[in-house]
Amino acid sequence: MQNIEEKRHITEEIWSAVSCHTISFTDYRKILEHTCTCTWCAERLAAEETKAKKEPPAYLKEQILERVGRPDVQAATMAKQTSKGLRLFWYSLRVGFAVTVSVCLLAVSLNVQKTGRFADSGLTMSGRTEYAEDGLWQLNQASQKAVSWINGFSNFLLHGGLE
Amino acid sequence: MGTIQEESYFQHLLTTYEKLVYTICFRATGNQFDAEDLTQDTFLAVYKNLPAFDGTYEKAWIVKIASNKCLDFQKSAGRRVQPTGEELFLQIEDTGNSPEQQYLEREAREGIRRLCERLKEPYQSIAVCHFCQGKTAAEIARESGKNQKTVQTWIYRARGMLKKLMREEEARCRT
Repeated sequence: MQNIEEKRHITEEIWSAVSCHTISFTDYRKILEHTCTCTWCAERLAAEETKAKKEPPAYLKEQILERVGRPDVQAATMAKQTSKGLRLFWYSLRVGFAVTVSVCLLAVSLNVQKTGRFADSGLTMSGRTEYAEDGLWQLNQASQKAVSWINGFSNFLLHGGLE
Repeated sequence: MGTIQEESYFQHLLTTYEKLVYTICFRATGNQFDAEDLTQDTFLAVYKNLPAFDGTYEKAWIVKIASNKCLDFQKSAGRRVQPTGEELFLQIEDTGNSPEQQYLEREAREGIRRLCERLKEPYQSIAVCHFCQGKTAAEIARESGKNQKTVQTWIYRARGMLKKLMREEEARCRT
């Protein structure tokens, strides 16, 4: 029989063995390993096994319904959904806050440029360069502080107020 | 869960694919009890992940979950279940409901019954009603006048005992 791992999809020869129930236990396990990642072969396995005449016990369906109705399962499912929504909420809050601060910083930097201190100050060219570099450095420091504050705040929110 | 729509969709999936999942699990494990457990685990995973499911390739999605559950079961410690020659023979089926097929199915049911009769009371009668006659815990509780939770506990314990007996039988067949 052809090696299942070497082929992209399971071959017709193997499907024929599945259909006739002559496939070995080891090869069936390999089929399952392949169908975990291959949608096409998963659909084909479903088609082959649907023909089988193995009936589940009559009580199985009710057992499954009873199990999914248990409080622990319901709570786990609800918690999964809630935490996803809550994470999305905090993430959007964080992004919104970051955008607001960025816009403020941009406005501040534009304002600094518009005040025209260079024209009135009488500074020399090198003095103007030093002043500009000093201003940029201060702007850089301010933005770094703002970013670290945002990160600290969002971590605070994500951890529910705990460190 | 969440919405009524999701609940009814889950019921639809359970009704439609229960047999398929059970067949895959039975082929992977070789015995009824492990197949039942894995089928339950599969649909539990389906239920928990249903809100995130986009609705495409529904059948393949469920088959993938079942395959993963079967593989996890086989990888867990000490679980290298290989059907014996007898079980493999029982899995070979004929086309249609031939006399041979009917005989094989009857033999499989008799095998389960023999194991159930080896249990002590009250587990023996509970096991016969549940695993051989296919009655639910609610039906058994109603007929016997016992508390349903008690019946469920007995079924759970009987299942464990039967699994142990089945593994002993398999080990004996191999030697």
